[in-house]
Amino acid sequence: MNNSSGTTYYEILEVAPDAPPHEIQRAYQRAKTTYSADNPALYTMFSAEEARELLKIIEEAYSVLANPSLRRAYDEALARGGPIPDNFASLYAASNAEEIVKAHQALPDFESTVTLKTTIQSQSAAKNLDPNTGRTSLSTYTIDEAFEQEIKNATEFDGSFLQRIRLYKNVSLDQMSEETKIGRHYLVAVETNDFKNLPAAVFVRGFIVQIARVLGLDEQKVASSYMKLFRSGGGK
Amino acid sequence: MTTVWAVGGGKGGIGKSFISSNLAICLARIGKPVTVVDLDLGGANLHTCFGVNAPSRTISDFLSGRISNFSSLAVETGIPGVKIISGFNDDFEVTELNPTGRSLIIEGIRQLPSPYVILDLGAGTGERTLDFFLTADQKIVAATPEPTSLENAYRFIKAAFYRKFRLAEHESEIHDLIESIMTNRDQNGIRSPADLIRRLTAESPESAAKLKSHLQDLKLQVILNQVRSREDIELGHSMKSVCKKYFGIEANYIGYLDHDNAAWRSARKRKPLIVEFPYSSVVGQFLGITKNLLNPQSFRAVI
Repeated sequence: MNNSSGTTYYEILEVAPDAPPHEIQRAYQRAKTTYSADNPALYTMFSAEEARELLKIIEEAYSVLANPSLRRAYDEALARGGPIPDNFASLYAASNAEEIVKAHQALPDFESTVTLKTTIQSQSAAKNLDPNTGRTSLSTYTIDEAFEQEIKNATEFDGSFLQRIRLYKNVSLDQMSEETKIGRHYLVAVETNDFKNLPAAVFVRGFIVQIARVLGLDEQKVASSYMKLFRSGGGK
Repeated sequence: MTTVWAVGGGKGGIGKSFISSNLAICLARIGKPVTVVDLDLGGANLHTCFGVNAPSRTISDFLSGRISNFSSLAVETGIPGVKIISGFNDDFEVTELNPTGRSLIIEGIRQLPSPYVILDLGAGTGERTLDFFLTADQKIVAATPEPTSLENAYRFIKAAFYRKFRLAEHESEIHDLIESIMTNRDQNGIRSPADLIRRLTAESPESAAKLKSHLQDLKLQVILNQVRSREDIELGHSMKSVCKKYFGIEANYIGYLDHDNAAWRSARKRKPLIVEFPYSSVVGQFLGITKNLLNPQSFRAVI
């Protein structure tokens, strides 16, 4: 019952491809009722585990179809034909975040272009001057070789590790929030592994990608590791 | 051309005869004469729903050759436009019903003079019940919100599906392909017919299309009887979704009927509900269901 075999999100929610938003909303609520535990209408047809799996796919379908820009992108992917990856929602959220950042960077006004240049110059100057100073787009910090190695070899990135890296690189929560446009409370929730207070997976993945980028980490590695924890830890 | 509606649902006592008789009266009231055929072989009691005595001629007489014309079995019910044909009264005759007899009955049903025929099916998932069900133009599955009834309704749908599937498989000559997919069902992740059809689509789109076109006329119409709450009403939507996700077949939720005192009071009096309590809410619901069955284009979804 996975969607790699060609089931569209529309088929999962059992709506027409041109269904208006309120129908998608209603279909989603109905699907949630149907595949929730203890629904007598599932009895003898789907096991509890199968129902949970279906619910997961339903959530994923809804997270895309309820979001106008994601839905448009999904429709385009459908129209192009060919396979659509299982985790379209999260993949797309990540690439979308990238695009937003790119768009942001592509449109600097004159003033910031000037400051950007000077920053780059001063950065490279500083780099030349002091090999023991590391930099992020927001801060400078003293390089700790041992910790750098630990980051490099790490395969598991949970909230507290991300926090340690952030503090090591001298980036404050406010700076991070300002730069990534992620609310402070969400950043705190990410760093404390407080999955219950985080939004749906598709958004969290976007958050992690952006945080990783600011901290100069491998976005895909960090995001997939964090999302694994998020899912097993009862995230939405 | 006769249009045939069949009312099935697996479990006994969920109101198949009640639904059949009242749908018939609804049809007659809007000017469409109808014959109701009691196919609850061995437990025929449709006549009681209409408050008439057991007809002297039954399907047994037709099968034994005493009566050669199937349509002459039809007797009046006292309600203009509604006739009934009674099934067997005795169990021992039922076991004698072989496939030839079955197809003779189906042929007879198709040649009835009334524009509409309603088949009141018996409980259970016997082959003959399934064949009568599958021959109908509108395949109505009735259930009540009780888990036992839902379980039996699914068992009935499952049995009907596999019977249809076997015929389709045979006609589209894809038996070997399906066999090979099912041998590795675990590796292929196949847990339901819907999974199988998806897998078949991936392996051989042509065969899958053939199979699908055969399965297409297995479209179900779900009626929930004796609902008492909002949650009960919602179960119909869940059944529709399960049909789609498990079997990959379409089901319409064409309506529900309230659990209503009027229904059992009319049953006690051996009078059809619509005649006895024409202004009860259940009668309105029956009319809505009838309209949905007559006019799929203007289908009004259950909200």
